[in-house]
Amino acid sequence: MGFDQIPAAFYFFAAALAVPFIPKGWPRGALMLAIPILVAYNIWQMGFGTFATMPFMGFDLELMRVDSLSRVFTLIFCLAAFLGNLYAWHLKDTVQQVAALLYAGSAIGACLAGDLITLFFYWEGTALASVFLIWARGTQGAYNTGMRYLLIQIGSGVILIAGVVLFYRESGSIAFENMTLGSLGTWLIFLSFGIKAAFPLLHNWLQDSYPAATVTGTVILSAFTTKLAIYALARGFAGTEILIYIGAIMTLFPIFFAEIENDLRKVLAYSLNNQLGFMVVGVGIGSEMALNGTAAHAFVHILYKALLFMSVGAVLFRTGTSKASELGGLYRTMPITATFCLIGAASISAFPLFSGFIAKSLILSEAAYKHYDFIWLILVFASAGVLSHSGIKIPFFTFFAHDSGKRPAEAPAHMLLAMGITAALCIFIGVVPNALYSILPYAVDYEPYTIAHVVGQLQLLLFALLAFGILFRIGMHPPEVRATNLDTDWLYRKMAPSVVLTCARGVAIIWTYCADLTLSKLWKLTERLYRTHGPEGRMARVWPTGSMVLWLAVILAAALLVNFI
Amino acid sequence: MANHPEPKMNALAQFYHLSARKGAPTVLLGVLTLACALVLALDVIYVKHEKVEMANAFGFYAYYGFACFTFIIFAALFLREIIRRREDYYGDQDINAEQTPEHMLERKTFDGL
Repeated sequence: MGFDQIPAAFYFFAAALAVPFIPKGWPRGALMLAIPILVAYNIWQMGFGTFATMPFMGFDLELMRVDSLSRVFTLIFCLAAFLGNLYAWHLKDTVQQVAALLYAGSAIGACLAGDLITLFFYWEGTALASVFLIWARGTQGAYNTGMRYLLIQIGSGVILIAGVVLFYRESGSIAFENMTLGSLGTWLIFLSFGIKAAFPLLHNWLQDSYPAATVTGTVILSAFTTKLAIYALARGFAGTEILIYIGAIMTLFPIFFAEIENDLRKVLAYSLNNQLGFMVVGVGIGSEMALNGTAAHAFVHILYKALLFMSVGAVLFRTGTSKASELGGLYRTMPITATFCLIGAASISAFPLFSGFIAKSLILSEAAYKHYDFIWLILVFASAGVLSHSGIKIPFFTFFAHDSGKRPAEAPAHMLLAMGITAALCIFIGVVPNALYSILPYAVDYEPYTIAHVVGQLQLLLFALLAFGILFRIGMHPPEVRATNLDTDWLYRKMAPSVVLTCARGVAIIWTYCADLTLSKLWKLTERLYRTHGPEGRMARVWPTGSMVLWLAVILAAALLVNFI
Repeated sequence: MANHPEPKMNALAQFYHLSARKGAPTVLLGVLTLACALVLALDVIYVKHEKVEMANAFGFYAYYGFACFTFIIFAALFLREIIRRREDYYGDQDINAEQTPEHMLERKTFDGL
């Protein structure tokens, strides 16, 4: 069996099995770094085609389908796993290390799945492995959050397999190819993808769970689940028009929540949701250019989002908090982390020469080209929103703004190295866009550095910055305050328990009333019987013999009379 | 952490520290305003061929960026009035109300303490 016959995910699973038996420290860390490099190298050099098939219950499962779409996602997943593991080099927690490998392996396995059954197994694998990155926090709050996360993620898998069964019954195929929405089966598969992609109203598992994970766990989490869902949508539902509108809403609503959120890791989770919206719009448009935009944006987004999570994570690691109300002025002692955070902020804001600029514009250009004018206006609006919460809020309120008095040490060397490599990639891709364009699913005929594009983008961002400057100076910018902001999780954390409790109380009242009524009737009946049949009752009297004979005579007379008549 | 002596900042930190000087916000805002004027003026040196018609208007992105940002801030302030609750709204067994557990941290101040 050649190396190309071993599914890429199995390398990660084998490493996860081996990790507990490898000494903690550099040998274990080296293995965790080597596996993503090895898998990326294999994928890069093996060419396109379907490798590693396996019979299963009468089906031929395709465990590794490498094509232009799955390759780019696999490569960025490997890169994310490498950077996440480097960032977590200090970790001595075997559970988190095993979970990180299983999680990355499952996500990569799902990307390379050629059929829906294989996709389902890996889909559930990502859910089961990733929850341990949340539980590793070790608090009751994290346990509760993890349970909510697991319910939703496993639920997504259950919906997926239900959809696959129905789809197979309709079409006779389990191939994971482009589908057309219409039947119940395809709608269920679509819904399953939508849950993981954090569609509006299905999104809150993301903002609930990511801030609950460990410092390193959040960095790992940020890369895989949602982008796997984007890949699945691109593979299964490219050109489905409803996605354009879903994506547009996704770019919009998280902006406002992010703007007033105090926990910076939650701000980044909202920001992640907003960025997914751009990718979903690209999938909805479905042209080659738009799908290139989705893949490119997923690629650069994983990098700059990881960089932002890393920098905020480093602050949490050193200070014990990621709440904006308790931070500020950290540039004094963490200037390198601050610089990397600024690079991440510039990238996500899509400043020229940074990675976001050359990726997001592929989607915006295609939206305009296909005459989705209103959608284009929304996407430009959302671009200004990205600047507000990720471009300004994250670096400004963490490292600048008022002096919090905290003087934490700079992040550890391995964290700085991970951030440094990620930041360098953000700049490299921004400066040399063809490096990324060359690995996209389709040939790219697009020049991002035109004078119109650069000037337009600078106008948008600088004037938005000016608005921030003015609003901040006049005290109209939302202050960072300790609070809990309600979102859709309120429905199942407060409203649903409240409804259940109210219903339970109602049932209890009706039950008590019915029971009381029955008991009182029974009591009255008992009393009546007691009165007649009790020791003092009429029926319990001792009847004299004469009286009995008299009654007997009366009955006999009546019988005779009836007989004669 | 607040009781530690002031750190000796490296060159990068000292560069950032310029932003803490008295009058720096005014200067920064002035520089930003000038930069905005410059990029707005650049609109006259090329002919726009935007697919969306209204984007061909002079300074479209500038106005739109300024208006969008301002709208976002005011809308967020309004939203906060509706959805803001106490930090322990979901009880004390919620991560928002919990202290970050020490086992996942490596607290250290600039002077190594």
